[in-house]
Amino acid sequence: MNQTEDKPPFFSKWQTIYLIVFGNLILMIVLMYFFSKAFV
Amino acid sequence: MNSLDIFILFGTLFAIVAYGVWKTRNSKGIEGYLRGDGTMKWGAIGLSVMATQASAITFISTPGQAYESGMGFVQNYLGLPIALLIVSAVFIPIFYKLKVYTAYEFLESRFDLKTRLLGAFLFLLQRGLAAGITIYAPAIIISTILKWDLTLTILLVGVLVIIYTYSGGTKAVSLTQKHQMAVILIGMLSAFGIMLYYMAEYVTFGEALTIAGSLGKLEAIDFDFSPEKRYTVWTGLTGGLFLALSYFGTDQSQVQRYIGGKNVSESRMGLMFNAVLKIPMQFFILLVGVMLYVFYIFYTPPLHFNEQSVILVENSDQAAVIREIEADHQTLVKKREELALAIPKYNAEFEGSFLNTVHKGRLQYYDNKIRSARLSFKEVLESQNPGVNVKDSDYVFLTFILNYLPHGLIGLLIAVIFSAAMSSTSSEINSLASTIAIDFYKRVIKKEGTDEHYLKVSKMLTLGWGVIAIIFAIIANSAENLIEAVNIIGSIFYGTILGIFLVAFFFRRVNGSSVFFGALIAESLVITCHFLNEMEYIDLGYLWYNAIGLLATILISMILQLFMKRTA
Repeated sequence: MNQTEDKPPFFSKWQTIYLIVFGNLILMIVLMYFFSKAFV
Repeated sequence: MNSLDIFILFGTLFAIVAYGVWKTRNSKGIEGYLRGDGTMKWGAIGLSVMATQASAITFISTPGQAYESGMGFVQNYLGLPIALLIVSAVFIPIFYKLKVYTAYEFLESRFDLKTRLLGAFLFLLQRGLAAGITIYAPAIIISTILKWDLTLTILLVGVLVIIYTYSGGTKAVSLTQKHQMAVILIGMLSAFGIMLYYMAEYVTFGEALTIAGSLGKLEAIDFDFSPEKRYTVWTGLTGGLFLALSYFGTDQSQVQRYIGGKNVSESRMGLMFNAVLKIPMQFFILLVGVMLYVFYIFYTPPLHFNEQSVILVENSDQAAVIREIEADHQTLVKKREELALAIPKYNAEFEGSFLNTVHKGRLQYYDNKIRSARLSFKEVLESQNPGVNVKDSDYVFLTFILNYLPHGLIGLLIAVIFSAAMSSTSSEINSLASTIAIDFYKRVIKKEGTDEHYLKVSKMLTLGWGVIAIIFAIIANSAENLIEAVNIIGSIFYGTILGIFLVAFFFRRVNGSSVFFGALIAESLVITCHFLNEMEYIDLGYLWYNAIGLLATILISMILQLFMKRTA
């Protein structure tokens, strides 16, 4: 395996992984928002 | 602490150090010493990146911060995943393509030597100062609370770090960080579990959350646009993004962690690991602090968590005043406990009704009275000892550890603090040594040396920076808020460094001289803003320094470029 090899270990494209990570951030903001509201 | 704790503490620390030295005993050559040997997988890279960022301050101050102000600090990390996406997509491929040892080498290939040296110098300035604080911050608290000698505590952390970082370089740093993170996670989860176990005598976990929510401690997300608020979603997504982008993309202590990967793919996944896990980890640490607040509703808290400060005032002519505040405090704590115990019942029977609102209002009233009693103590302490650090939130978590955890686990939790201090410090001295060795010594002073010569120089620089960090820590003055002191220092320089890198990546027409002078003017502007802030002429959250430095560098560079073009 050479150093510039760039195939992601999951899925076929990095864009898919980036999209999942970004979606996870949105999900965390939403969850923490509801968490804040749930115990007021 | 008893002998079992001491055995576990020193056993854990020495085992990690010995492991680091042993596993890297055959490492030879500058490549392996400064970049690792190119075999690291994404899990190890991810843990190493996480351990570098999670210093001892994270585990001492963050629960204390949540104890005082609730969960809002988590928003500071909202920009981090976006920053890691940008570093992964833009920075990593270029660093690998150029096979750099330091991030600043890239600046020479894009601009010129003086811009590379400016980037490296700004890094050395801010990271060199922070290296001392990384050791000092936990040492002052641990030495106070365990009644250890401060200098010896600093030396213990510093010398252990120097041993394995000097011996094995980057690989030793990464290998030890895996084990340090394991100790940290086991320790924090154990402390949290035991806290809930103690509280179960009074309330369930759900009820504890309800009580914390009633006291406004669970407001993790705030969409308010008000610029005076220090932590909101917007400050996190803008200032936090710039801070994280600068830290992960241009700070050699982080860059060195992920450029030693087996390939681009492993490095990228290591960063994605952090993009997903960092916010939940911070959320958990803050939740530990909030649960600690609820814990101390049922288990009488001291009036002030720094025992040494209490002794100071009790031996003064204000002892009678303190006894009076203490008596009031005890009565208020009892009253608050009664009201808190009734919160679940009121929530179940009168949810949404006026009665429930009134009950919560009474709980908040007594909670505020307790805060006022604590504040009165601090005022007496300050009046008796002008200039003394009256903030006690950094002592909250350690006080719980020492008073309520079983022996053995106390040793493990103190090992958590030391491990975190060591993991961050080792990355710092490793990166400081690399930057001087590669960007200054090899590039400017001695261009034609042998591999063996540069390895020897790098080792000496590692030793030197370790000693400097220890000296900084020993002479450091007490910062008002340790976690903020590190972040403020970072924010003063990070924006400008990031500005240089963003111009390099995205503004192809700007040349070296424009960005060099643009960066110098921008840095002067940020430093001016900081002093105006300190002198209270302006009121600006420190995270905005990142944005100012960044935007000023980009804009001034572009203006200078236009001007130079016209002149030419």
